Amino acid sequence: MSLKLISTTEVTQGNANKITINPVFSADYKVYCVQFQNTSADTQRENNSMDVRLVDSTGTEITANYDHRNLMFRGYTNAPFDLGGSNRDEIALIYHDKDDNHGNGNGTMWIYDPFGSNYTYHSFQETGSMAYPSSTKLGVHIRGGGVHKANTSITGISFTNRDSYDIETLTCRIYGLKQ
Amino acid sequence: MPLGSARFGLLGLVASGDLELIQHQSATAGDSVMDFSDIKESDYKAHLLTVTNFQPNTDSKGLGIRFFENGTLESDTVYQFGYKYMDTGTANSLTTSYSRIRAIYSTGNAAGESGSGHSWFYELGGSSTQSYQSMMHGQIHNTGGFRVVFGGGYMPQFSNVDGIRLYPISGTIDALDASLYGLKQ
Repeated sequence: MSLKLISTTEVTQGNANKITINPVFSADYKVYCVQFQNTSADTQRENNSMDVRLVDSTGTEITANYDHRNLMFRGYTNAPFDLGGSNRDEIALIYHDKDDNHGNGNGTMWIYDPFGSNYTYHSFQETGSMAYPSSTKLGVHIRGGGVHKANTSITGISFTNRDSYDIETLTCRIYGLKQ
Repeated sequence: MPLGSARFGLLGLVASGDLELIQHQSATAGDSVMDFSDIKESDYKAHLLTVTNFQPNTDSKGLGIRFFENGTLESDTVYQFGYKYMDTGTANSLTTSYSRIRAIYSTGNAAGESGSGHSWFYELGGSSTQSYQSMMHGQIHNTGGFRVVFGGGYMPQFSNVDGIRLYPISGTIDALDASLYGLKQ
């Protein structure tokens, strides 16, 4: 069997703005599957989201040198638009909202060779629900990918809700793809 | 059963997985192709191919995919694809007549420039099936900028695909690490 569960993180009724999972990436695998489900924030706002960042082998969260590009369907009545850009401080964005407003993020990141001292790429898909504008609930779908542009060994990943809101719920399972 | 045991059991089931490694290969610099010639097409309806750290020897070249049909390489313009790529803008790459589908788009070969991603293949085995690809990858192209590409490819003829070739569009491979998996059903 080639898909091996390495880590399970479950947050329920959370009271932290940031969840860090580290160490989790190692030389054991080249490719990792990060599944996030049932993410939500403790405070409602429009365009509520979490920043996804990587953690280096010293345990330091990396806050620079990311590019990411995505198509975002914010609601399913309009055409998708571009999300992301260059020299960002996050490698991906997970959109969701307060859980009792039914905001919810679910998806998968594939991360390629994070532990190697090379650029780290990922591909990303999310399907969930969010609020825009104001508290109007919409379905959301995001598809794209990103890169950390530095020859850095990556050992972990972090999730940080915007505006210092706490992460209310999060389930994150990380699998290694054996080769 | 205590709740903790139930949860452990469920996670154990997930952990076992049904994705089975068929073959892993690492290219040697100078290789011109990487062939997966025993894909066990009769065992799986879906295959996953991961491609990590592809770098071409010739700047700005992509990594193509061709299929083998009962051992014979299909290199005619029978392939179709529709990919979306996003870098400084967004564009479509569309064709109904091409000699390959793509694993990685044109990638730079300076330090730090490479591409990584994955493709799912569907219905490769069987003489009465057409062959499908769903692809996503990220890369640094030859201007140093990031690009993400995703979409689908298609070989419409009804044939048994029993092999997959990865190859740079021209020149040779400087670096490539790839694994092929079958999704057990």
